[in-house]
Amino acid sequence: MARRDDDFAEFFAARFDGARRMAYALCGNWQEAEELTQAAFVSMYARWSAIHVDTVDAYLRKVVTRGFLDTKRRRRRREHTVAELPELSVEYELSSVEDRPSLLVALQKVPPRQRAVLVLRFLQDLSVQQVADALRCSTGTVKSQTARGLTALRTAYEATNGDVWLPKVVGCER
Amino acid sequence: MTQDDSELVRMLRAELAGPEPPIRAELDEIVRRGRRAIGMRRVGVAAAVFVAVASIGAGGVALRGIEEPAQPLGAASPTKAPPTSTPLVNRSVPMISVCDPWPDQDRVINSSRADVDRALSRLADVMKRGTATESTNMDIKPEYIASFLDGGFGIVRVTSTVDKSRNYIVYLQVNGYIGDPGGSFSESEAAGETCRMSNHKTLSDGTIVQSYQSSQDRFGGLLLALRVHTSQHRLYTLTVEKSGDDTVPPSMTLGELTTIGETVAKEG
Repeated sequence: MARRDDDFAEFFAARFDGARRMAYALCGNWQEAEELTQAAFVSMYARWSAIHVDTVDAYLRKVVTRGFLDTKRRRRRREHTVAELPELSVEYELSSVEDRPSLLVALQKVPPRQRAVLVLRFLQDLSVQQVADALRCSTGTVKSQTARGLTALRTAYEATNGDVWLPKVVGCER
Repeated sequence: MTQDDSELVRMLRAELAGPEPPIRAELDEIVRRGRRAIGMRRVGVAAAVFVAVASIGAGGVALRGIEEPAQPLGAASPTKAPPTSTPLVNRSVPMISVCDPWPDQDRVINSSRADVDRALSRLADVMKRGTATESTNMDIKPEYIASFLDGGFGIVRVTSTVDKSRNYIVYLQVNGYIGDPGGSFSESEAAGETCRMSNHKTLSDGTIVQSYQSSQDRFGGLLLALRVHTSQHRLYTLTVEKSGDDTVPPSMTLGELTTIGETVAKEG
């Protein structure tokens, strides 16, 4: 158990920050991102002995992404009472993407599954096949969801900022 | 991915690399919750084993209670009727879920880029003519966007400066398919799903048209979808989503989408 905990502690120290940042890209809220990431690490600890060292990072991404999608699918926020009151932090308040116009705001308006594909594909630099594995879908679905996600992101960004993002349009006047 | 898309992703990455709040999670707490999860799992496994063993035991006792009396020696055993053969199921039928507008590429044959290009051009032409709205005074400006993503995939964005409800994006995917598309349709498939089959008809040349609409935002904005299996083993999948103002639903009807799909499939 001691060896197991040491390995896990090392993994936690090395990967928690990155996983939380990925969760933040998915949900757009640092507090929710922290909860998602914690839940993922709890799940990984419970299965630590069964996880292969070569696939541990992929497993972490998978658990975070599915946790996010499950939350969205159920359409309810996990809410539970805690004994300790959270510290009020100005930085925390400002760190919510709702408060500032940006691409991250636009990303939150992209449908969850398309958002997950964009985050995995372009922010986590996964291949189409790796994204398909993580989301348990075909590579064709990943490609189509990528195209739709990019379109939705661009549309949302234009709507938020009022900028005109020029799409590459060809062949309209044939 | 276009240059615009690359720039979009680069900006997103830069933004995400900004400052972040301190981590509040503690390793001890996570380990404690993890151990609790392990304990719960073990309890669950033990309970399942107990239930299984108890069920087997109870079942054995029950079966012994209704055991048939022994046959007397020499008595002819009743002739058992041969088991009725169940009809063979055509295993080559692609069981595409009615509610999944994006068929699994493992089970379809990709079309060539030329096929997709032709179908996409055709779709853009049809939309530009205003077939979707059956109106010529709506000032519709379809855009033909060459976005293939090497997956037989294209987009036509329709915008109207007059009526926001005429703003939508039509996605087109062209694939080949194997098997009998008629066999893939089943009303039961749609049962309990979040979309429902609205129409299923077979044209004179064997083309099968299936249209459906989602009852909720399962596909991220999907409102209407159409799947056309032609007798030449081409599969055209069209989906319509909202564009621009989310509060205004597109006014395209399933009938209009069906007309577009049939036209594209016929001449695409």
